[in-house]
Amino acid sequence: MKLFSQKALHINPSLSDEELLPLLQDPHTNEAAFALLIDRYSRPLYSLVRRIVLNHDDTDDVLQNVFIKIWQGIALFRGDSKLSTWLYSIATNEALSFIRKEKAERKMPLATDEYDLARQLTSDPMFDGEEAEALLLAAIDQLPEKQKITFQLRYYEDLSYQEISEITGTSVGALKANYHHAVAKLQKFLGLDD
Amino acid sequence: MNTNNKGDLDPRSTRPFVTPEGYFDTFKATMMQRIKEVEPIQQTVASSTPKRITLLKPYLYLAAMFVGMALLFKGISWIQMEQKVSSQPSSLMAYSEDTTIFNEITEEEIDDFIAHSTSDTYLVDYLLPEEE
Repeated sequence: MKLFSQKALHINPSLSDEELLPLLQDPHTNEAAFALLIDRYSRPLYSLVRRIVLNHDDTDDVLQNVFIKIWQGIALFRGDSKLSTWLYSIATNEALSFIRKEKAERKMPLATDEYDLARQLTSDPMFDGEEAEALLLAAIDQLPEKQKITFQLRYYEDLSYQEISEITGTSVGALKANYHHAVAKLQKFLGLDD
Repeated sequence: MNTNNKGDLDPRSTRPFVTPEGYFDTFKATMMQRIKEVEPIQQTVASSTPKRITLLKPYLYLAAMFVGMALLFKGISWIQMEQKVSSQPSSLMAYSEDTTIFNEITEEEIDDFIAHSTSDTYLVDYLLPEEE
């Protein structure tokens, strides 16, 4: 039973993740702390999920599930890894679960008369990038799952291989191999291999 | 500053993706409402202490493994013994199956057989024709 409302509680937004964690795990302060967590991570996690899922509405659904799981599990988080690593792990897994369900519809060549992901992206009002960016995203979408995730987290999120290893549960060596193969395939997809 | 109608004004943009205007404010409000309906999983005192069986599990698995291996070796050696017995020449097995012949021969006849078969007299009698 809460003794006071957390609405009036103000938490210093400059707190580090390590300082924020105990507040997230305390029933008296967890709501206010969670609001700060949303402010801090909703955009980066949105970008991560959106690059995998590609569609805004689907991203919104997945992102809500991500934060629900964060809310449910935060009290059990032991802090063995960084909080951000844990959040990225949940977001990655949720996004992958989503696209696995959609996999049958996504098993299409990069460009066909019926389906052209790059063209879909550039014609999407929720996409503000250039054609080259759309082509790259479409090419990434064709990668095998592990290579796709490794590439996304390394190239776009600029995470270290060690952090990616903690997120995906894959060894650093295997991740390096995944990244190397992903780059080679992307170059081939985009006609950049000589 | 991104001032077009589609762009998000926050410097931490989600480029090249665009979100609806005010999306993240709405998202936050939605989430703060949704979490009121979901209870966070609280860690209980009992669960923070690992149960005894959890601590013993690795040793139990190890013990089960050794027992399994011992039974396996025992089984293999039993099979090998069975194979050794069955690998004896079939002619011997054929003779040993029928014991009625041996039951009809007396010990006296066996003794006589042995005596004749090793006796020179017997051989002489065999080789030389009977005197008339």
